[in-house]
Amino acid sequence: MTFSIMQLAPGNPMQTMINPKISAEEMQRAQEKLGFNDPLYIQYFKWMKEVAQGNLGYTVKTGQPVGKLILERLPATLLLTGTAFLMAFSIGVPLGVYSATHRYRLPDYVLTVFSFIGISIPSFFFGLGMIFVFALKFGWLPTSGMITIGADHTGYALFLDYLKHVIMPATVLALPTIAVVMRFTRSSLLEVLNQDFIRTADAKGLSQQKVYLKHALRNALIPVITVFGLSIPFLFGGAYITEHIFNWPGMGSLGIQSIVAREYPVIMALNLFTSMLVMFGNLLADVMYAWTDPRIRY
Amino acid sequence: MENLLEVKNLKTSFFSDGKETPAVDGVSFELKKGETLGIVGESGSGKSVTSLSILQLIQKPHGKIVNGEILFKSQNLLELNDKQIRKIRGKHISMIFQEPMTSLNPVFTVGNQIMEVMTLHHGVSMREAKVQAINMLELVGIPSPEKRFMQYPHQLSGGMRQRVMIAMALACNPDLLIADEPTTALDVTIQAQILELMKNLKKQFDTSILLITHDLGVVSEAADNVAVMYLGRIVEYTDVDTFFEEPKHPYSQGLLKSIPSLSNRVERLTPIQGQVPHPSAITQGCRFAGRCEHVHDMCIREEPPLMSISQHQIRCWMYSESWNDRDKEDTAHGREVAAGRESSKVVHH
Ligand SMILES: Nc1ncnc2c1ncn2[C@@H]1O[C@H](COP(=O)(O)OP(=O)(O)OP(=O)(O)O)[C@@H](O)[C@H]1O
Ligand code: SF4
Ligand SMILES: [Mg+2]
Repeated sequence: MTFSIMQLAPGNPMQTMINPKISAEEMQRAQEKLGFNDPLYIQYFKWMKEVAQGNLGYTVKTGQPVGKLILERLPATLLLTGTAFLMAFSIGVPLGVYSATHRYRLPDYVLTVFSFIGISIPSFFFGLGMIFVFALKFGWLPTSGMITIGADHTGYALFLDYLKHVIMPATVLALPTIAVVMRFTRSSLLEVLNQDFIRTADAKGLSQQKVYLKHALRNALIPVITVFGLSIPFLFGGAYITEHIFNWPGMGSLGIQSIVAREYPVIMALNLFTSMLVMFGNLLADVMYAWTDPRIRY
Repeated sequence: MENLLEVKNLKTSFFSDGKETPAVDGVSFELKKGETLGIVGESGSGKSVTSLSILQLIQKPHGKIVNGEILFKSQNLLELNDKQIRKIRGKHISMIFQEPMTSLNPVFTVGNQIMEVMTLHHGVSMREAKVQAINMLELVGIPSPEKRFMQYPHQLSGGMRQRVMIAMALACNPDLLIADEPTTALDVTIQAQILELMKNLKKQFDTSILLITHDLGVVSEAADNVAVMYLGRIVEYTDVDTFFEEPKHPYSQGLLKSIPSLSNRVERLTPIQGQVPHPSAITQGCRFAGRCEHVHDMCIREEPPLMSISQHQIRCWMYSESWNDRDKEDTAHGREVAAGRESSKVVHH
């Protein structure tokens, strides 16, 4: 899939490296040697064979191993998406509960409007807006990067430095997921609150809070697990643009650079990684289902 | 003896689009310690709404208790705030519901759900609660209670789940048990077992029971007194023996004729024609007029009050002085009007 879409895009890595002094003839020869002129399926199978052996290939330009390149970028991306993931659920679920328990009252309407904005606002717009306000106008937060270069923080100071850098991109990345988690939690909780066993819980004399947070929420979170699984690849995907905006040294910005440079091996490897994330997300969701819902046993 | 529970002039309505639909209207009854009161009536007569009103479990925000008093040990429950009523629920008054399949929480074990009431109201430790809960399961006739204790509701049959509900309801030894059609959803043999169980437990704990049912067989088995409800009203209220010997209200007579019993086994069963109208279709006059074979002009003009006649309280003009002086001609006319109303379902207020 990915492979064929990439091939449809005009241009190849050679053209981006063109040195005007090289003749068209020489260029043709080089392409031949590197296998660019082979039929597509042959190129694809060559790649598959290498991947199966654990070799993700080498960058076209510099010849670095792609696997190593990605591994270098992985921690930064994990830090960003992990933070965004935690934010999405630790903020989205409570907001959803609050919204559901205040249905048809002002807080619910406000949160509903917020969620529509959260889902529909483009991340580059929101990201640039945040940079403008918090970094440029007030100067509270750094505009980009992951650490303050040359500051040599250690221990707690280093942690704080990370935190300052990660908060804006993570918020931008998490926003749509927060909104989705919130809406899902809200509607699921409202549905559960109409069920007979909630009336039973009320009839037992439990406090309102216990009825909501023990009996209702545990049931309401079962459908939210779906969002949980889907959000993992979604967040990694969103990291492309977010990392680019905030100049975050992760896989996302690597991806964007590679697309611009037509670095096929890197793009292919990143996409392979994303597909694995989708499967991982599904697996995680299934495990969580079995864990929260005793009616499901594998 | 003093009444344990006294419901006075209860009115509970549902509101939608600013329109009020009274599901229960002017219902009064009382219950002494150790007594069982059966509330009977067909589907839609307001039995569940009455029982839910007592513990203020009516669906908010559109359902609302509009009027009346609910005196429990002489305290008006309707004057309590949310926190106070929750202290009564499950501890002094508990409830079992019509739907055993959906009334237990699917994600918690049976044991967890029973222990929860015990730790909540009696403040016992988890270990103590576990011992008590297993005892309770044994008491309600659940085989291998230790094993069931750790199971989830979906692993139990409907009858077993209703036993769990009963165990849960009796866990804190309440003064009053409200049982809203506890056997309706179960099959016949299980029904008999559950009923037997409730009777035994009642003897053992001296619990008063408000037994809601549409099954007169259940009433004759288990109740001391009977209140017959029709379209939000009590139409007849008396003790069980009098009721079965000498039912007075045309509706009660109809109900009795429609069940198979020893006395009328040979006769053909004659169910009452039609069904309970929706409370939004209430017209002036007797609420049963549309289905009553004795209907007279006076029934349509004005609704009969609840009158005391010997052992009965009854809401029917047939038992008033004026019935004997009535103009016989008007019976036919009354029937026509009632039939007309029934078919057009005009709403007067
Ligand atoms: N949540 C609700 N919202 C609106 N109307 C309701 C609600 N619950 C009950 N009603 C109405 O109140 C009336 C009485 O209902 P109720 O459930 O008390 O009947 P019931 O006697 O318990 O019948 P059943 O034997 O079917 O349980 C019905 O006409 C019903 O439509
Ligand atoms: S008052 Fe009239 S209509 Fe109503 S039950 Fe009695 S006889 Fe029938
Ligand atoms: Mg009912």
